[in-house]
Amino acid sequence: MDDKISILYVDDEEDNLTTFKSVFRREYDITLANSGQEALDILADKSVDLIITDQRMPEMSGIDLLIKIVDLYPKVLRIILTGYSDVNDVIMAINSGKIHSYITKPWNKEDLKNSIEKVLAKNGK
Amino acid sequence: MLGKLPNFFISPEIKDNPTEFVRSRILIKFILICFFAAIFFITLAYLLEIKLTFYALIVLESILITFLAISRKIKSTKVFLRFFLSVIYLAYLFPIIDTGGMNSAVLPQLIVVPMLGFLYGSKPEGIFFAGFSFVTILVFWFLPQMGINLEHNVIDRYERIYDYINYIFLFVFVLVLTMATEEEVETTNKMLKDSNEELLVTQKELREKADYSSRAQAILEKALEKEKRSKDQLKNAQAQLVHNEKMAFIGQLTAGIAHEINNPVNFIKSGIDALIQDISDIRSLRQVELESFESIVTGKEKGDIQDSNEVIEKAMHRIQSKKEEIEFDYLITEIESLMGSIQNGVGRTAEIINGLRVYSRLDQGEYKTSDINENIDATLVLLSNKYKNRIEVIKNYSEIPKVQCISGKISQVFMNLLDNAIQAIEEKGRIEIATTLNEADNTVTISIKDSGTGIPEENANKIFDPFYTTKEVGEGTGLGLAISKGIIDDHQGVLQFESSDSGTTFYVTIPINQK
Repeated sequence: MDDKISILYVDDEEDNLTTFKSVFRREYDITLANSGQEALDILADKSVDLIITDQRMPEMSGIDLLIKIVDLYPKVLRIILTGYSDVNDVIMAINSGKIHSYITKPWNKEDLKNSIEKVLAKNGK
Repeated sequence: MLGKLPNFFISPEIKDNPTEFVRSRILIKFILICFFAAIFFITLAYLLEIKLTFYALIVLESILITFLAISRKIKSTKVFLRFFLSVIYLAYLFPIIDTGGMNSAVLPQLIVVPMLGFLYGSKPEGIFFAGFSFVTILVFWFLPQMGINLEHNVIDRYERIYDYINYIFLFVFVLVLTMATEEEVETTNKMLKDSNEELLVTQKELREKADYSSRAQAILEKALEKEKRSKDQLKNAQAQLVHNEKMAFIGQLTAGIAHEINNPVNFIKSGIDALIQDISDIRSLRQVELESFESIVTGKEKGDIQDSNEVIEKAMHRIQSKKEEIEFDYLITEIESLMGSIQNGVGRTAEIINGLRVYSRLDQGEYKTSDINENIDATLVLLSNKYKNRIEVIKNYSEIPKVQCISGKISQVFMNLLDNAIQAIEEKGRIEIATTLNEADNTVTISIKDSGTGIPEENANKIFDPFYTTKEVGEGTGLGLAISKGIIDDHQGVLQFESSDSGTTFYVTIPINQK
């Protein structure tokens, strides 16, 4: 179990968190956070390989969170989830959040898995 | 100087008519000549003791003076002429009788009367007096043959001189008449020429005016046509812009729906993916269970109890380890939780779609009763991605009756007003929405108050103008409020606002029932 890749998934929607975990718990070690602050708290205690965060969240947006992570935990790989038309958010996420990939909602299990694998493979994990 | 003298005796009314004027002028001239000639002949008749002529001429002279006295009052030359010719005729008749009838030197002067008639009157006067003179001459010719001899009453030694004077006068009369005619013809011509010139000038002016006005008309027509064309263009552009606004509104709607549906659809979709995996895990457990039961049944058939117990234990162990492998207990809770998530997602999606009802029939609306509070809520759902986590929305809804309105259009107004309110708040802020019933006039008022920067006073009277916008190019058509006002006007309602630096409040007041 220990050799599983660890993923931190951040979303303010409880249902998104539970279903994400249900889909990927078999392949990866999933940790969930329902806000940017909670994600930062988790990262302080535990190291993760990859963070997937939703963009639209109250208080701290996905981009704000990634900007902090780039600063604090540069080794953590970053993927952002955005709405289908939030092109500006994606651009900002690429430029400021230095994301490795982005996925649009609603995501498809296969596509998301491919993206995750690609990001992992590219970064030698 | 003398030439102007006759004019004095002419009625001012006649002066405007060139033909009448000239005729009158000649007549007056002739009367004046006759007047002076009569004085001369009266003197002569007195000296030569021709008594009948003397008296006749005195009568003539007084008639002439009367003529001249009243001439300014006479407006028709024709009456004047006839009377005058009769008098002249009589003035000649008596001297002829007095000086020997057929042998009189005055007799040829009778020609003057029809001449005057022809020249200054018209054909009837000329013919009449020519006949008269002819009959008179005939009478004088017959008189000697009937034994009546008229005597030459002039004193013998002056007889010849008197005759010569008369011949000279005949000559002078005819000469004056001819000359007068020429002169008057000239005057007439001159007057005609003048008036002709005047007419030409007037005509020229008229033609110029006509030219000018036709040119002006052409220019006007062109301008009108141009105006019509630009009006058409404007109409098209307006239609296009209204269409654009509609498309922008539809875009806004779609984006709102998409954003709102995104999350529920996302977890419905991933929930189902997870369920599929869970079910496949349960299937694999079921498979293990089936196999285990089969091995137990086969073991029992062999009959060895010891063996059979072993088989059962083994089978149970297999099942148990499979259960552990698939985390069976967790799986069951997970399935329950996934079902819950899917239910949530479906519920939320249904709610959003349900809210869209208020936007149906945007184009051809019919008035139906509609719950205004519900309309505002549906609009808020669609806009939530624009204000969520940024703006606090406070709803102060009252219990208001359903309002007769075109639901889609009224919701479009709320969409515009709420969208403006959201855009007015730059960072964090507050929007207060209140609905109230005004029982006095059977209307409802919806107020939307934002904590934005407010509308500057200089823009306040322009905000309902079509195409007026303070938004960036591409962000607004400037038609939102103009269209909203149109919709509220159509509903016989009022759209008002008040603004300060602490925010703007829009008030929509509409009657509950449409008349």
